[in-house]
Amino acid sequence: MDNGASSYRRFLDGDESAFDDVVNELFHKLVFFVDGYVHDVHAAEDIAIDVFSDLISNRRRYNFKVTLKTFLFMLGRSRALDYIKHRKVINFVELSQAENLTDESENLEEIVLVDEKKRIVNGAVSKLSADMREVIHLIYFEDMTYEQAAKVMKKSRKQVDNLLYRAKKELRIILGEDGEQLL
Amino acid sequence: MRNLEECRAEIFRLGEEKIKTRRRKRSRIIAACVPLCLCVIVCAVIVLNSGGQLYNDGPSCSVDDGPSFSVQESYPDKPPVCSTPVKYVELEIISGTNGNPFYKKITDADDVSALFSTVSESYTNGSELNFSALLGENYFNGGANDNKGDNHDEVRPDVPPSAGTTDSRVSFITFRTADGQEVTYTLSSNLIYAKDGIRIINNEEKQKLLNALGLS
Repeated sequence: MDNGASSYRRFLDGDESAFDDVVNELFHKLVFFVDGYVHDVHAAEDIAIDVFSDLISNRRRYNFKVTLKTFLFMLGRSRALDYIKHRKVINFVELSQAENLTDESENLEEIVLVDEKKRIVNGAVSKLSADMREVIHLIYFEDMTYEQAAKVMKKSRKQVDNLLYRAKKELRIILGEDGEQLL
Repeated sequence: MRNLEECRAEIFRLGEEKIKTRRRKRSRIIAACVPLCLCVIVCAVIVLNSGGQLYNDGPSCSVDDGPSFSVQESYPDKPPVCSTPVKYVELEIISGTNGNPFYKKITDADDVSALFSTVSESYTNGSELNFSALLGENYFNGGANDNKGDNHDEVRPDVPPSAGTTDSRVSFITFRTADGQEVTYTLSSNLIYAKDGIRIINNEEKQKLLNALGLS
């Protein structure tokens, strides 16, 4: 499994339908990942669309040196941080609408996190700091290697290692005895 | 939340839009840069041409143009070198013939220009002095051919009959610029001496020169 790189190569060779495979495989994962930063599914979706459209408009940008998933997550993270930086007005949402939003997030979680264990962990992860959340998400939910996660987070492998160690320690406290088996 | 089909369509639409925007930007840059480059080239050509004319506007360095010469600062007496034009405004002639001294000073710039032109033309037209021809081959090879060199009546076509021997008159012709730089030519017999060498002139040329300088 090359996380869509071979499909994208076929797309670059002229097979337009190959791009659908890339979108099918990675779009929801990217939205879920970006949502972790922006905490807004719609904004996360827009960011993910923007990132994927870059693959179409700027076809030489991805050089196949990292996996396509890592590349997309790097772009997604950078756009998400830009979005947070430039978001001047915080939209306050009515409580009744917030219920729907929660539903949508949960819906997305169901799409991305098929595994029940992962969903339980994801619930506990929300109580961690942003960095810890990110590293847990990339390593456990997206099955990235430490190196790939480090590239996405723009940290060294050692930093990722330490962060993950501390995150797991905190998660054990949050999840209790059951957490030992989940992690 | 949009479904995947909608998102896919949106991705393609946005991708195409980005491509169009980039093309538009590129063509806009080209549209702006091409005239700019042309302007720069045209300006450069104009400046270069005007720069060339600046030098050409001044008196040229040909001998015919008279005093339009420069004198290298380290060698004020050196004959003209073409760089910055120098205008001679004063001419001093000191001549001596068998104890009969002659002195003349001309300060009229036009006359000086004309005379400089005449003198420098004569110098330029003169043939370069061949010392071995003037003094004989034996002078340079230590008299090895003394037996052959006995014939002093031999005619040497490149040496005028009077060159360096018969006429005892020596004239110093000095041209000065307003700021004191000067070029001196020395006329003796059929020879003109300048800083950079000695030239031989024929009798006709010499007579013309003497007439012009008022030494005849």
